[in-house]
Amino acid sequence: MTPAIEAGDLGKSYRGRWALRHASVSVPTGKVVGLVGANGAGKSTFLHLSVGLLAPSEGEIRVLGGRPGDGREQLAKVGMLAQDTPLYGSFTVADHLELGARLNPSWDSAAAEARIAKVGLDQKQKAAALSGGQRSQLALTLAIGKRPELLLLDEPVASLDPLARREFLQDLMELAADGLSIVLSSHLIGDVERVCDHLVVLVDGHVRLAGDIDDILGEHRVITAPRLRPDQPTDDEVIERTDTPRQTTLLVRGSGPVLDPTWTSTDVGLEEIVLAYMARPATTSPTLSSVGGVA
Amino acid sequence: MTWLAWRQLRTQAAVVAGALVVVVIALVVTRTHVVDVYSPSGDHELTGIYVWLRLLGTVLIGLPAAIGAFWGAPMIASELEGHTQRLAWTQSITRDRWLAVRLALTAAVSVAVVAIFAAVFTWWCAPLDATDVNRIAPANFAQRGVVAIGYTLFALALGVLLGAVIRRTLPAMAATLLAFLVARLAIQKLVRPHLVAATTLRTDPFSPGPRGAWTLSTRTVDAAGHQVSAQALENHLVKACHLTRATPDVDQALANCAHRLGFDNLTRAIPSSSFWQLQAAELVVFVGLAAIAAAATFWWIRHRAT
Repeated sequence: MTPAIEAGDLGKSYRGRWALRHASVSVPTGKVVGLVGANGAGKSTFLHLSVGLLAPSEGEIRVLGGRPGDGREQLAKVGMLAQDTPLYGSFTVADHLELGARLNPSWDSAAAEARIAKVGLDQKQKAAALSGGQRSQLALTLAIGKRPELLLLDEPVASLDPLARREFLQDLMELAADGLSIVLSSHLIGDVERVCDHLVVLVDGHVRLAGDIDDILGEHRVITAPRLRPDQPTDDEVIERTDTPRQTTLLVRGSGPVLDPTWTSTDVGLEEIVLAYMARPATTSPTLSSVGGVA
Repeated sequence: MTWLAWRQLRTQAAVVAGALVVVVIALVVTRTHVVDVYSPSGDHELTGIYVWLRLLGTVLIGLPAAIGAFWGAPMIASELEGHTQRLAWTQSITRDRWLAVRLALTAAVSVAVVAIFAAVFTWWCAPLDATDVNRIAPANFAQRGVVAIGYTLFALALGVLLGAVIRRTLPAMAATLLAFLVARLAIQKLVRPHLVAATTLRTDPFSPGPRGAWTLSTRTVDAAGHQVSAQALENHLVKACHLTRATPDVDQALANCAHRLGFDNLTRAIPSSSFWQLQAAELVVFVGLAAIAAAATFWWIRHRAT
């Protein structure tokens, strides 16, 4: 099956500064994918590359088998809700629906109208007068009204209050249940954990971790042991190491058996795993030898 | 896409169309009086409100620059500023088509407005041009005929390009005004004199030059064909014909003396009869520049804009 997004050594630089580099990642279809990273980690760049708003500086990216932004068929397949939900301030809600209908051959007018009615938007209201939550709902309606196969959302809930956020994420889960592939970027790991089943972690423009959330949770654990020598070997890849005078705590990836009876192994939450990856120095590659001095 | 382009233009287009209607009505209603004033029995001078109406020609000169700044520069810059290009360029329509439709519609509306204005104003001025006014000289040339259409297309395309490159509306508007002004004056000074053939006329010094023509240069030569400066000519004549301050009608005496000694004025000028030829040539120049700017904009938004 064609992946939703397939990137190979993808890079994008702005005036010599790399916003994204050596990104190789395959995003499956039919899933809700969370794109997580700090501000400036390259999330927006990755999404803009995926929809064709940006062209890669190096490497290559295929979206649903095609080159992003390459012709109307490709554009029709991908819906985009950009950051800060750009809308035309002087256009009414109805104007925006008209825009969607005029510019998208596959526009589902009935569904879009129904959606606007359901979220309680007044069609005659100008976009400039809408609240953050209403803007998001209108922009989402535009993005899904064209009936895309893949929906990209750049920080869709950042400007929403908690209630609007919950409703918005609920809507996303309903869309995913209908078989739409969704990639959403966020720096709120809690939201991602609630709605996503696949995760891509970006750190300083590099892909640090990618996989199904269930697998990620299964592969990582915390090992607590009496204080270890810095060079004491472990079977697993150490993501994060904390030493106190009495004990050593390791966040490891791998499922090797814990042989030493003085060691204990516990499960670990997604947020802790993601934060550990985000905190790793950008220059190290995720190999055993380079982490925490463990040789 | 035409719907979107028109939706983004319609309010301003309506205002401009309204203003145009007022101008056209004012010119149509007042033209009979202009015909009377410039008839053989008229006094050949416009007064009162008619002085102001004639100044509409200055508005016509400024209109292309205004269209470039207010319709051209914001076309892409305001989208980039408000990030709405991320909405427009992710619909099921290519960027090329988006730009082509927006450019074409705005150009069509702009050209319609300017062409109607210029045509009616040219017609209003026809009685002046037929008798008193030199329509091919730079002061009036741009207020007549078809060149304003070329200026408009170029200013618009230049504004769109600068807006795409500069990415901010206000600086792009300012840059458009400045760049258009520089280009327009540079072409008037450096290119226009070469667009059609100039003729050289030989006249007596101190006589008025060719009437109704655009004088490019004048020089005075002696009987042997050597160029002389105005000061040298006067010194020479004063000495040769024994002229003094006391000589009656000294100007006429100077002219007679110069004629007798074989001095001539050589005037390079473009005659009034070349008016439409020059209009067409300058229109072509500006339409060509507009096409270059538009092509550069297509390249830019395909390869550089985000």
